[in-house]
Amino acid sequence: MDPVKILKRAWYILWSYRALWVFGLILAIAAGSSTSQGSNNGTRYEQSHGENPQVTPQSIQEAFRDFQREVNKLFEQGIPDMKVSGEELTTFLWVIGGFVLVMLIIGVVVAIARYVSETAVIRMVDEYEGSGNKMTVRQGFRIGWSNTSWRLFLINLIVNLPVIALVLVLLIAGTGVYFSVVNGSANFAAFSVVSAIVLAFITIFVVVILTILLHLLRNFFWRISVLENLGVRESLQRGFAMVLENWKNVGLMWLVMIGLGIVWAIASIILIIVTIPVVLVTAVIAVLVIALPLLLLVGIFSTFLGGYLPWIAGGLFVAPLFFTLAFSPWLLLGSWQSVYTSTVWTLTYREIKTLPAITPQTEVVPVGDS
Amino acid sequence: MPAHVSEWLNAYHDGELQGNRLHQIEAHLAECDLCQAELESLESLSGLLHTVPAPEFTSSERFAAQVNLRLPHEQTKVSRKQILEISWWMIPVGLLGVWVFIVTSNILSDIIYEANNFGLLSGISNWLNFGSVNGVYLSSTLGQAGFLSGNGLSWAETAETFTRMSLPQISLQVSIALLYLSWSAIWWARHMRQERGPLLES
Repeated sequence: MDPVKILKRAWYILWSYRALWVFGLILAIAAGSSTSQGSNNGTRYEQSHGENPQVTPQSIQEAFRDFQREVNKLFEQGIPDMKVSGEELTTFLWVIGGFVLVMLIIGVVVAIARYVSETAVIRMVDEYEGSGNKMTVRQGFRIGWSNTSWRLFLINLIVNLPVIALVLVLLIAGTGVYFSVVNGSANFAAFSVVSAIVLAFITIFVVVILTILLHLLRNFFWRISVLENLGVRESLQRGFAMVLENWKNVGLMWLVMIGLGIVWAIASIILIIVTIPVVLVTAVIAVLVIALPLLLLVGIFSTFLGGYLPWIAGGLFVAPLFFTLAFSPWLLLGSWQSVYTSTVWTLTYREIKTLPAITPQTEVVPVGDS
Repeated sequence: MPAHVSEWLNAYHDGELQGNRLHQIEAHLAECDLCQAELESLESLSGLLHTVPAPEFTSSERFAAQVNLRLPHEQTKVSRKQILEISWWMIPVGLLGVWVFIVTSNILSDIIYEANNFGLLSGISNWLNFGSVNGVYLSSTLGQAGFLSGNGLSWAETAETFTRMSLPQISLQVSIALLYLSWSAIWWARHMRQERGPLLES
């Protein structure tokens, strides 16, 4: 298997098959909405110079009670400075609830669209490689909208199980440490904290490695499920066997893709900076596009909200549309990355499938017997 | 007179016969001159063969070992090459391992920091000595000496804290990324050279 040929072929497909970009955009939006809370990569620093006041469970309870008192006061009296009554504030809270509900629905729709797009991109690339036929976006959606998308979701869930397990382990360890600190002696508390730290380190380390490996395997699980139309369990078994049998080729491709990921990260930083003027233009267009819906929403909210609240509520509802339009150039960059990565793995899968299976070693015949 | 016993003579000569068959052959030989003569010729042939020195037979394992010894020492070179090859592939894997270690340390550090902020470790925070290093020695010195004050001092302290606490982490991860990229570039160059090799030869 030649990784360079695969990379070049995927590059060609990315630029010659524009219908894939649409699905890439959906994948980029889904990726953006699922990784909004990024890690700080250890870049935390403190600015406070004074002694940190000791926070105790009692002080937390007290602070919570104070907060509750303030909230009650706010909803009784409203915000007189902004001419907002307590009743309007309660209504605003309901509007926020409605917004959260709308966001949840959008989240579910985006999640469904993500798996449909994953299926579509894999099948479209495979079809193109097999027969040379290019599909339209509509055809892509048609072949993406199938039970396979649901199987991809289930496979993804299984692949992410270690992370869920890690969160549970950390929660249990954290609860144990909390109770040992609150109820136990100082020595026992110190011992439990050190044990929890060691346990947490080992668990996180193992889970990070496991997650990296499972995400590599997921590429094959997904493709087997989509292209061989197999169930979740069969896809997992076959994918695992396939990777195990061709671990050298898969490993090489994986290492190359990591390197490419670093290159992409550097290139995307440069591209983001370069495209800032374009984003400013799209932001202006986005403002023009959302102006009418915003005014409409403000008009509706003004019937039962006062002060600045209709504007805040209207802004909340149109904000997702605004950000999607304004940052569309950056989303397009994400789209290219998603399509390219998916294409590379589809081509790798196809290449590995054509490789002859490893045959058992032939028996060495003694010279005298021949 | 019973039939001749030519077919049993070899076995008789080698001492392989027993019981009735042995007695039968012995009785026949005592009476039959022809079979007696055949036995004598067999004995003389056997004696003649014993005088010839036996050829040396070599076992297949010994033969293979001897051939191996006579071959040029290519085997040693290959294994060294293999070690180099394995080491070459272990470079990116090792770098990834280091990166995972750093990420794990950062995640854990964040968890402990937040847990301490929420008061979960209040009883032992002094023992673990959280946040005791503010890392603004230079700014403080400059402030005490009167070179910096007000907003300037505040900015200098922020910059120094950032430099001391965040910069090492960032530079460590950037270094790993650059080392990985260097490995990728060398791999790419090697691959291209291997690809062009046959073309240049032809």
